[in-house]
Amino acid sequence: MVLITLVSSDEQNFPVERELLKQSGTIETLIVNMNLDDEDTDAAAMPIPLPNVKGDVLEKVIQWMEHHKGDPVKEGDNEDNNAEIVVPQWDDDFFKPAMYGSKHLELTVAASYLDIKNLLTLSCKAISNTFKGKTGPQIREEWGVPNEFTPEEEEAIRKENEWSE
Amino acid sequence: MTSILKLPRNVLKKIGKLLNEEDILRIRTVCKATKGIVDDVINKRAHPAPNINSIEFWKPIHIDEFEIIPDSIPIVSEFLEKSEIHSVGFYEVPHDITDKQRGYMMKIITQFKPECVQLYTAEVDLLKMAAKCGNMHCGAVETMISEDKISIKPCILIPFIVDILNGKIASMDKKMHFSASVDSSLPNMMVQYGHLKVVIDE
Repeated sequence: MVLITLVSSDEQNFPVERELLKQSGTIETLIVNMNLDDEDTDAAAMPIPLPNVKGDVLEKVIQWMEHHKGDPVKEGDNEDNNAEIVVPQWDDDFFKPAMYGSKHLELTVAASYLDIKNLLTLSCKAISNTFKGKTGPQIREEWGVPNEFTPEEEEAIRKENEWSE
Repeated sequence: MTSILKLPRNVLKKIGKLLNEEDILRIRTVCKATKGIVDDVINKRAHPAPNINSIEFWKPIHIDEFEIIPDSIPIVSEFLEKSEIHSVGFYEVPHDITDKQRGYMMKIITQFKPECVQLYTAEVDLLKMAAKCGNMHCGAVETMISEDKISIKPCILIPFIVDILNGKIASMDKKMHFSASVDSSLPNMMVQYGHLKVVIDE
């Protein structure tokens, strides 16, 4: 089993099975560019630095990839259709403890940076699920977002949306 | 601490795209960033490119299914509510539909906000009805997509129907051909109707 070492922004090393890394478009590109798949290359001696991902987040990403090992990697992104995507129970349990906090958001940003399409979609879907059936003020309160609108602006937007309330 | 507002715009946009119509409208009131993104997403949904990929978002009601829709507006509303249909698309509706089918379609069209209706048909009465409901995104389309160009024909877009209703165009008998040069870098071969070049064949 070929192991490739990922190095987080806080310089923690994570040896990861080569096969798992196929889920990440960013890492896959690096592996190809660094010729890490060549038999002549000592992949173990060439760690891949990921300066935008902290160790604790990278650990979660790897945990997610291990669970989803072998899953087909989504090609393209037909986003107009995915309002009905369902977050599987395992992923829901995986995301839930960190939901509403910075950890889940950091995981989502890491999924975007590492181009792990399935993780990004499910992670974003988990966030969007927290918005379901809630009003703007309720979402602001849950996510700690300050209100930038004047009462008049808020009322104007509410009127535009009236039919959906 | 990472705030939801500091998520990259592409991530926020993806979250927006994962919401259904009602929820996405609600998050317009969260903050200015979400309002801007939602308006972008809604705008894109309201102007889908006339190809199969773009229309899959909408939930088409097939003419064959009309038989199960009851024949009165309050009950149609109830049917739509129960079936949780929030937007509707009618595609390639033939011009020779029956009066009953036309009636059902008209009732359904009137039940939705204009931005939630997609209608592509050569059936003039339906187009007029959509125009009266304020829908500016409907048209009769038959598309031909080549490498750098989308041709739509015969195509009568709602703004022209409005002109017809206002007496600015006397007759709809002329064949209208629309063609649009499309920037191939645009996602989903987006066509902005306002940029369509119009050629009227006599």
